[in-house]
Amino acid sequence: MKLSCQKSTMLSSLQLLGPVTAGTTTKPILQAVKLEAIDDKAVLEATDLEVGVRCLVEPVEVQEAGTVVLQEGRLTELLREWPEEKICMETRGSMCLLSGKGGVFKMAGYDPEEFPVIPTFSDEGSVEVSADELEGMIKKVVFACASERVRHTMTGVLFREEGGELRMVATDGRRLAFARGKKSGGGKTTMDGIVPRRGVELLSRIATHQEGNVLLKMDGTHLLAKSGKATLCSQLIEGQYPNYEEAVPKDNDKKVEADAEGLAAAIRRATILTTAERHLIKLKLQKGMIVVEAETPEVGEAMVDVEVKYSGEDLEIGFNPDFLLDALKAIEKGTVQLEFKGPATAAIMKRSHDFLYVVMPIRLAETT
Amino acid sequence: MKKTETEMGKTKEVTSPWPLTPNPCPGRIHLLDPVVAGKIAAGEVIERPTSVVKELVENSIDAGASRIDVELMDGGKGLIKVIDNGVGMSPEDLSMLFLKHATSKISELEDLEAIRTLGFRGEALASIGVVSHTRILSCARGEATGAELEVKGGKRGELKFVGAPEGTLVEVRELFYNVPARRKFLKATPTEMASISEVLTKLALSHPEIHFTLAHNQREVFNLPPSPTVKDRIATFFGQDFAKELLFINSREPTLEVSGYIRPPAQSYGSARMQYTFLNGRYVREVNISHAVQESYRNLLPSGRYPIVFLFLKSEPSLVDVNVHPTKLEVRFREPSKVHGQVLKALKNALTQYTPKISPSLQEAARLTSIIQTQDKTGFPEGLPPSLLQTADTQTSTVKRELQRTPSGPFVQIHRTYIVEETPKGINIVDQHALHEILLYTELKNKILEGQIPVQRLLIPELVELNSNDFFNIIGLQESLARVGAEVEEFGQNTIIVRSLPQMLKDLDIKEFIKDLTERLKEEVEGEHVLDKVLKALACKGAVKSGCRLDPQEIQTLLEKRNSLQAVARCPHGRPTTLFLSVEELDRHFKRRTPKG
Repeated sequence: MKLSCQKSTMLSSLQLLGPVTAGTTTKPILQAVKLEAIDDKAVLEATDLEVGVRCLVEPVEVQEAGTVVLQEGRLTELLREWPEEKICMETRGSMCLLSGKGGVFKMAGYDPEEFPVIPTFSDEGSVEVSADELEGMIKKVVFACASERVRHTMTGVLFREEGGELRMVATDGRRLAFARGKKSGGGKTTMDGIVPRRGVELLSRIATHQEGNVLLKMDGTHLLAKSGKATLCSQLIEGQYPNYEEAVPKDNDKKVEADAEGLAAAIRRATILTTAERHLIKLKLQKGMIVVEAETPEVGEAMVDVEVKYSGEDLEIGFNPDFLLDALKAIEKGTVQLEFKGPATAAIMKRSHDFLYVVMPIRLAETT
Repeated sequence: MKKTETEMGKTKEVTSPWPLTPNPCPGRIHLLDPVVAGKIAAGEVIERPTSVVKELVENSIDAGASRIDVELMDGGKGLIKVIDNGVGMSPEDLSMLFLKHATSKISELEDLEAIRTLGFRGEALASIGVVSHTRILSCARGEATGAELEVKGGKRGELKFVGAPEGTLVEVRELFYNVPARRKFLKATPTEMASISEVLTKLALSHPEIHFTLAHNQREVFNLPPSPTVKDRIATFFGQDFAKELLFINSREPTLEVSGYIRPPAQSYGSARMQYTFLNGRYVREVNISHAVQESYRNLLPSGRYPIVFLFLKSEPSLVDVNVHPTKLEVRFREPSKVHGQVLKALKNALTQYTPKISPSLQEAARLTSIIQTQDKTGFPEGLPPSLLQTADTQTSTVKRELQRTPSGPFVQIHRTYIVEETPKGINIVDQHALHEILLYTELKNKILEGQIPVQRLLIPELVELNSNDFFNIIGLQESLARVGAEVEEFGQNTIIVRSLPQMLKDLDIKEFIKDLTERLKEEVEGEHVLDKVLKALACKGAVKSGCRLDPQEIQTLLEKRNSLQAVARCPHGRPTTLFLSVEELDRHFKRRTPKG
């Protein structure tokens, strides 16, 4: 293999692969990237067996086709320190040679045959979503995934195409986030699978760093995505995702309209007077007002009035403040609609059509 | 003949008209009223509903039944009904029933030397009849009509001839109605059910050919159709996956045959409860067998873990004495060391031949490891961890970002298991799981003492499927669980639903927690110490596991919390949390300073 290109071109592609190799520590070949030169283009690949990312290096001059697998960390480091704008890389046996004003570097490579194969992307049967839309949806749900240690299927985000729109759901069993997004194009396809959190985060990253729309599809065991020069492949989590529609209450009759930023600020302040062991605030619904309260014996008491639109009955309900703040953060600004029923049943937070959040309350159990 | 005479004489004495009540002179020795004597004797055999179930079902098995149905109300305290399709009894036999030592199973003293049936003393029904209201309906095989007999508090009613299907039905109501002391000490319904379910499990395991059903308060607990093999029966109780991994053992000697199934060492249990040992079709606990089992797994299990085994011993009946204890649980072998040796050998053989199966993902890992090893052999330089290779750009690596968040605090996580921390006089090596466990345990306990605990309700409740004894055990714990914020309810047959959890246990694996709890429980499901068991199980399963990467923030929080609490040197199980190495010890090791003196 022999190729030359701008240093920045190679680095910008490597930047997308960095998070993939950084996730693994035990298997050296998974900390490496594969650089393949074919005809007039070059492709970089990295995988940790769960997710794989492939990125076109462009523009590039290929003098000789071939493949080399190099340690990602060292390669990135070296290129950053390289004094020239243009670089030239070529293989010498199993080594890769980089030389110029920066010196002569021969880097040991891995056997390309040992590098895991990443499935390729074909446009056929994919849906098209704008990068902003995709990124926005991911941001609205990804925080609600379960942590690694609990129920496996809940550690990922459910991607589903339904009713001509794209839906994403994430839950940790205590709260659930649901986002809807418009497709920009694409034909008929079935998309229904659980994407691991890591895959979702990488997808968001690729969508942000590349220009243009994102193409998405599923093949039963993988999510495949393409955006600009980059493609991503993520394994899907096997198993049955909980029936999320069942978790959304249908008869919450106490409806409140509040300013998202104002409510979030009040909750943040009240939360200061809670502890990790008693991470609890109370919302007291009254006519035209929500009182946000915290009461922690060893820390103190807080009471914040927030003006809202509400004309129903009084209600007192406790929550983990983080769960409320997560949703308000996803809503950002504007009006949040809150829907309650009773002190022990799920509450809804939503913004228009695109975001719905269901959260279970916290109560204080008497232990004696 | 002479013997009969003395017995006759004794009977005469008992029935002689002594002034029984009230005893005019409490200090004088007198013969007991036969009813009282009966109640005392009954107490030896019949302790609680479980004993009734066991005796009746054993009778049904001895009667050659191919199907046995057990129906209970209120944990057997209200009703115990056992129906079988065995050989049944003729009206004449039935009329002999409820007489003490009336049995069809042995007749001469020599028979005691070689017992082949489960029951033999003829005490069971007589004893049950004394302390309950019992109705028995039986029809001998091949007969058109059967007979019915009722006994209440030892008083027999009239024998009635009635039509009945072949086999025997026994109904025991109001157990211990006339022994208030005993009735008062009966345990809560779930406790009794757990015990009954355990007894039936043992009987069903040793008789896979019999169709067993158990119903409680008119709901089915289990229904076990006849299984072709013991392994199938094990599978119906403990699940297909469980049975799949069993290792078969077999060893045959002229006087003793040892066969059965054992679980590989990777799957062990928190107590010896999962050691089912049977001798000639009867569940037994025998010290030589238990010792041999434990010994065969020596060095294969971590301490505090017990093997899971299902052992079936067949011995020449004359080589074993089962008439040691009224419950027949204990047996004595003529040649105990021989039994020990044979069991040990049989298990060891199976365990040495066993090689663990590797799952596909592990095979992949193994393949990669071999790649790594070849790389190493070719002299490829071992790379530094990527975290040390990257510089300024924090965007490129998640590892990098976490490193930057590291406060300057002098600690580090090693092997994803221990935290090494600098202290003014040396270093602490902290077991992350043990420390977190004692912290959670202490915090939960404090919250309980304070009287309030924040409880997070679950949006998606967790269903946990259990076997029937564990199911009843957990249901029996409902109140204790609710006190710590875990709302648990019945959800259909042998399934529970968990609706809420203490807020502080964010990463609790509910299934693991319930499983752990059932292992800790054995049979006690009441009292304060049970709450402690619940707390320990919550803390253990809620705590971060070894092998789990912690970010510096989490370590910081853990260490800070430790500093604010007392008594954290040991985890709730008594394992140490921290090893301290002083600078002096380190200096001495590296020969930096010669110790004074």
